[in-house]
Amino acid sequence: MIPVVVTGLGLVTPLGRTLGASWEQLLLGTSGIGTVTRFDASWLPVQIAAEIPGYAGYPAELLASTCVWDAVQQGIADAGLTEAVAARNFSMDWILGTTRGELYGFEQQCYANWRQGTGFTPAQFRGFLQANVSYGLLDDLGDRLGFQGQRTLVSNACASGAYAIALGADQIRLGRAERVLCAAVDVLSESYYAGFCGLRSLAPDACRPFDRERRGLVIGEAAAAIVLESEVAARRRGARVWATLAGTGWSCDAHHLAIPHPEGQGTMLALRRALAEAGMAAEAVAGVIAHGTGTWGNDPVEARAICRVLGKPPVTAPKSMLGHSMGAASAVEAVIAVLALEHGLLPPTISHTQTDPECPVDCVTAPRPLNGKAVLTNASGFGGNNACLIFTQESRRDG
Amino acid sequence: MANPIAITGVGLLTVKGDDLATLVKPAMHTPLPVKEQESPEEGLVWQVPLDLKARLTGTGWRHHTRSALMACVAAQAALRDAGMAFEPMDKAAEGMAVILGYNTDIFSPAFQRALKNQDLLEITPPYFLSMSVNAVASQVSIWLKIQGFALTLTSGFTAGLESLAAAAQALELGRAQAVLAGGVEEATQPLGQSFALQNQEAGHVPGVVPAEGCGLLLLEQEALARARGARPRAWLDGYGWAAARGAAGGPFQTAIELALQQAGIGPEQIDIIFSAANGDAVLDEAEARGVSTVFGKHRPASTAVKSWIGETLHAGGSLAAALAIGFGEQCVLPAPGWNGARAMQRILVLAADRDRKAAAVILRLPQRSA
Repeated sequence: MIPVVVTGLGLVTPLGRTLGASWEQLLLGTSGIGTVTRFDASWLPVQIAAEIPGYAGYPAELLASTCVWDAVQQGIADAGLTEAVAARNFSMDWILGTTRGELYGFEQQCYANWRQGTGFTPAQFRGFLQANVSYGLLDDLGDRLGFQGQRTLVSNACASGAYAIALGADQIRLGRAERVLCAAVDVLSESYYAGFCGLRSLAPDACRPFDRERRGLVIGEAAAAIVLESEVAARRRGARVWATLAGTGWSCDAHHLAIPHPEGQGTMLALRRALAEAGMAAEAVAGVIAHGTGTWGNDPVEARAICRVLGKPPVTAPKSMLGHSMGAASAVEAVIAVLALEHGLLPPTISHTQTDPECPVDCVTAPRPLNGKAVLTNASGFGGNNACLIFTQESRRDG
Repeated sequence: MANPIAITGVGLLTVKGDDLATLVKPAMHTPLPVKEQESPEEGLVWQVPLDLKARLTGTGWRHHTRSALMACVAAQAALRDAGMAFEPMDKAAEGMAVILGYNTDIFSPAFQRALKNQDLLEITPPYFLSMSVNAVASQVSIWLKIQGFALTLTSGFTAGLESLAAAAQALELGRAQAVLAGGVEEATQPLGQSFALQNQEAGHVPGVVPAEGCGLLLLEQEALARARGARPRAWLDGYGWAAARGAAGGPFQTAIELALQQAGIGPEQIDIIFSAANGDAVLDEAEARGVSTVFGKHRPASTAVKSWIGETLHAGGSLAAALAIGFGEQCVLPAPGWNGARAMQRILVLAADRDRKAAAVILRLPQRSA
């Protein structure tokens, strides 16, 4: 198979709207969680979230596209492709992951209409369909970027971003593309927030992955972008190579829409598949960026699956700082995995004081040096969708 | 492709029914008119006229959306057609996967009512879970214990064909041994209103006629299919995706050329085209231009099934592929210029989101005389 490398990264998170700013705050253990401002959450039992700062003045219906546009521009620039993209003189495939698109803007439009005593008009619906919601978002951004290759929108719940990256890698592995821009985005949405309240999944104060006192997840916002290239194409143009995407593992629990398989069958299958594709022994995994949502349901199952398949590698859960950005989260965590390899450090899990015996992982609570060349990300989502990605950096020294 | 991809099972639901052998009969090919709205509650989208729950075994269907029910019925039919167990499987199927083209149901009246009333109780856990776009693919997986993976593509009108292509890729890379792939689209009132407005603005008569539908195909690595004694109904030889508006023939040209290249054939070897045309002038003209650019004066006959089953969006491409297999096997076609003198062995199936992006799939049927 054709080797796939990472040549560009972009990140927009509650901790900063650039790669550098987000990474710096992640290492400092800064929390991006605060009070919800995007909508009036006073009618709901929980009012905290991890919002991206600095977008307050942007039109609601363009919030997601603005965030992902910023991440994508960073990724393209980081890959040294800004001029080539502007000149529109090469082909690049484009794969986006999201669960909600511009749903937030749709809701705000609904409220505005209802305040005026009108419903949502067909014209407004059509506008959203064509430009904002789901595939409209994909095509609008694709047109702005001038990309003429494949365009695909993946909506695989909270694993959407990882699947977008994995699909992009497959395009390259099969020789169908030399270069793919993979991105993911999700911003707050009142209906989703209310839905999670209904499921009693939201923590009232903080996200505490794998902790004995964990009380649930905190919804967040984020966008991330990764430029994948065939290794040959990257070397040919002298691109900086951040890391190799050595393997991906996909699976479905086939158990329940919202409850993980109690034995973690699906997660273990995805972990094993990723290792097999990377041709790697479990011991070679130097660190795990976990799904780590801080919920009673996810954490024990994920922890046991990690321990059974990988032993006891250091595990960190960035959602403790960034909240759970749904479809974007697994792409954000992929970027963090690459940065961890680059800097030789795993960022901490904050708000974690005492590991739950039901979650027997080696939880990283302060930045920890990485002892190896491979970092694995694990993602799961509604519907039992699981995806693992393994990034390696051969130039890293062991120990 | 190095390892042939066989299509061993077909399951479909259309506004004209769900039996492929019946759907190929001329009596079915009457034009689908624009749906009149007889009451404010009634939508403008044609519905599949079947009792879906009655076709499914077991219980627990109460919280399934209409899309999920359609997908489960079609999955059951495809597996049955492929000679595989269609009852919920006894043990997990790690080698099998689901890839579905589907769109979100956020425009449903229930959702809008919940937002308007700011009533948490209206967004019940079952309803909230069904709002997740990937719920339909997952519900098929849960019902059939398909553990390989479940993937949902929401790329729009091309998603049904993209699902078939993504399935081929997954099979090529050994991510699965068999994939249920296709698309599903459920009638929603805003969807119908949106198309009605588009038709009105464009002055189209009748214009695009939206309809429900679901088309699922079972794709397998041919060697494994044969090993279990299955007979391929067709093969997926090539696929292409593109958004190349800049090319003379637009995205259609690029998508078709990529598919031909992958299939290792020239345009002259295509026997018939199952068109993406849906009555929208922008799409139809873009397709005509793209096809003309690739095929020149020697373009094969083409047929537009959406004229009689409607525009089924995310299901459109996979439904066309399913019907193409049925028509190809019978060597009959409701298309101008088709005289039946030529065997339908290689079929080009197209899907498109107006002139924005296009997808193409090349199917090959077993050789037979016309």
